[in-house]
Amino acid sequence: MTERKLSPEEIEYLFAFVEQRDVKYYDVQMELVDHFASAIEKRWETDTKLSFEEAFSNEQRRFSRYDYSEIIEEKEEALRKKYRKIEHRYIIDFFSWPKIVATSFVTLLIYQVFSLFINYFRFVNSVVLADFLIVAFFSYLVYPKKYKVDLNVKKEFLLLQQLKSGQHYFASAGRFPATILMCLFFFTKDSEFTFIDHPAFKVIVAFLISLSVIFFFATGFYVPKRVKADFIREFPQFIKS
Amino acid sequence: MATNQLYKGSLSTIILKLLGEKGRMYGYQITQEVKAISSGEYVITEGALYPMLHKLEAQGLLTVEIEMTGNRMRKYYSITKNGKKEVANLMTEMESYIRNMQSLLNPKIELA
Repeated sequence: MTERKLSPEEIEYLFAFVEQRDVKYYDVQMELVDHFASAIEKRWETDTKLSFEEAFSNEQRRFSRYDYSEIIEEKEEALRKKYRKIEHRYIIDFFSWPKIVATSFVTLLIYQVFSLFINYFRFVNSVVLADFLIVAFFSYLVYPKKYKVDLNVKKEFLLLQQLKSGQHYFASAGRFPATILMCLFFFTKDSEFTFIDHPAFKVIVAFLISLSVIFFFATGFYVPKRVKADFIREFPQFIKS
Repeated sequence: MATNQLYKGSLSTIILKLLGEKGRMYGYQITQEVKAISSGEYVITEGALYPMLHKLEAQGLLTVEIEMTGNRMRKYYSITKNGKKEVANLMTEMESYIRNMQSLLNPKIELA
């Protein structure tokens, strides 16, 4: 006797059901649909005459409304944590051998650039303007194109959502050097103090800026590349060829 | 069926140990395997299983593969190298916990 399996229409019904329970992402829906389908097929092994509706009704009762939102929230949190961990590992790598040489070099280079400026006001203005232009260019022009995933289906994926939220995170990370300088400028504007006259301050600010450059690369290039690669590995059939 | 309350804190250990022994498995299969091993005493609720699987995946203790099975997609979980190390630590902890609980709840009568 052949085993009774779910028909494509019944699978579609399950997808529609989980979508009605506010599970809008396909990567979460897929797992829940397989769970229901496996449970129904298991019941059919012992009761072949049981209708799809009856079998499904018994199974779906095991899930409360709260379970669906809990699964989505935990999945979102898990993905966020996964990529933050990758990002932190990437950043820490720049402070261990041999990459620490590059970090020190960039810090020294920024320190030297500070020394080129005599006019403090012009210096702050130039860095803030350059930072905003670079960030705007990369986050609004380069990022959306480079990490765009063309799908051959009209579905939403939680994994791709990471790329979208990453764009805002990346833009904020990139504006960090300008923020540091603007804060320094704002808090010292009424005093004689200018940090470019103090070597120790210059080193600290140069270090913070090189740290934000690493952060900029991590959030704008390394992590999104990993997210896109993970998506292509997990769902190659949905990529438009 | 025994109260599931006692099993709740051990869900990650159960999942990791099972995947370490059985190889790759999918969500529903895990629930059925646990039910069979515990002779129906412990039934993992789906609301607890999937969040835990996603958490373990994010921690790098599990890895996933997605495959077509019949007319639907199935997500298989396997244990990673780090997961195997973690399960060894968790098992040591669990054994010590069980020993301590046995001593606490069933103290041996010492002869004077």
